[in-house]
Amino acid sequence: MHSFLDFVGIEAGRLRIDWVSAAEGNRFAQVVTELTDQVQQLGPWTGFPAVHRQFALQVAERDE
Amino acid sequence: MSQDIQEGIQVRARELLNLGEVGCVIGYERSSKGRVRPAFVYGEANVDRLVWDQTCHHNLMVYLRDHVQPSRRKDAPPRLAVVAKPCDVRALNVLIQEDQVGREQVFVIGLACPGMLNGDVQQERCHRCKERVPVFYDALVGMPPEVDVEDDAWEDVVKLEDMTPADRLAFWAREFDRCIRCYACRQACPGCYCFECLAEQVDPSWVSIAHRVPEKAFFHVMRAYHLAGRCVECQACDQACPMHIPLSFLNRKIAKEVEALFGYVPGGNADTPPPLATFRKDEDLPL
Repeated sequence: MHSFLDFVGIEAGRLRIDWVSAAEGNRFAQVVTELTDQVQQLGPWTGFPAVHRQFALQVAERDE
Repeated sequence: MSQDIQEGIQVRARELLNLGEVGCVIGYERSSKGRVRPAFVYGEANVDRLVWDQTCHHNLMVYLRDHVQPSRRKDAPPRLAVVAKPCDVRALNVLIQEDQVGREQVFVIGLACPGMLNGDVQQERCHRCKERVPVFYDALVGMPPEVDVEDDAWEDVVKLEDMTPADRLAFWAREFDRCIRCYACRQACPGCYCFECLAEQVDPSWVSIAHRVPEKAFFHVMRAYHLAGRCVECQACDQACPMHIPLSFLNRKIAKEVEALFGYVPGGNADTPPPLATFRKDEDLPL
């Protein structure tokens, strides 16, 4: 899955697949914390939304 | 070549309908505009309508699910015959594997496939196709052609993988930007048979109906994941797309990963359990 996201141009670091037992509360918290830290470091995802705005601007300029 | 195949299909269709072995033959016919389109032949009188040439690219397996249900509950399940290229038969294997179609309900008129044309040139996937005779059939039509086959080195996929993330994003953004969300890719896909598509589900509404690049990307990425380990590379999606988006390229990337991870190629037979629907205790995959 990571490899495919990367293929489409989305940073694979935004996804984590892990397995946590229902009895492992601490581990669950740890996994979620790690992921949120990781994503916070990457910052908001600008990929497709940014590209969309860029395209929209181009279209607006062309129509003027 | 095409003429032989066309006659072969007609002979089989006539025989099957005559004997009452099947109620319907699904094949191809020529429209009034001269293009080929799917045809449903219910009686011997209409068998002459059936044609075949190298532009008959539609994957007819997509129509099977609608025709294998009895019209009344107490009726016996209907039987039908279908014209199938090797790639179509792989799709049929996936449908049988997923209990969507009973093997005994379908008479497969298999074709020895010379490769399909896209305009005047052979489709790219057909250069790579080693399977000129379907993996199974009830009757075979045509002679297996002698063709030079290129080894599939995933060159196109590797080329995109080697680009920078920004370039890949830009590539897909350009492609997805053209999408008009007509869902023709989904309708043409034999593997896309969900009663209610996630993209049209309203409660909860996971996918916005907005006509913007992020939403369009979401739809295509979602669809590609749903076909992981199931896509047989018939490229019906590419052929159906009015905006010429190389949709099967997404599926091809996943096919490459699935083959590398599990050594599995979808549609080879209906008995091997699909790797993404199988749990093995000893499995240790790099996630």
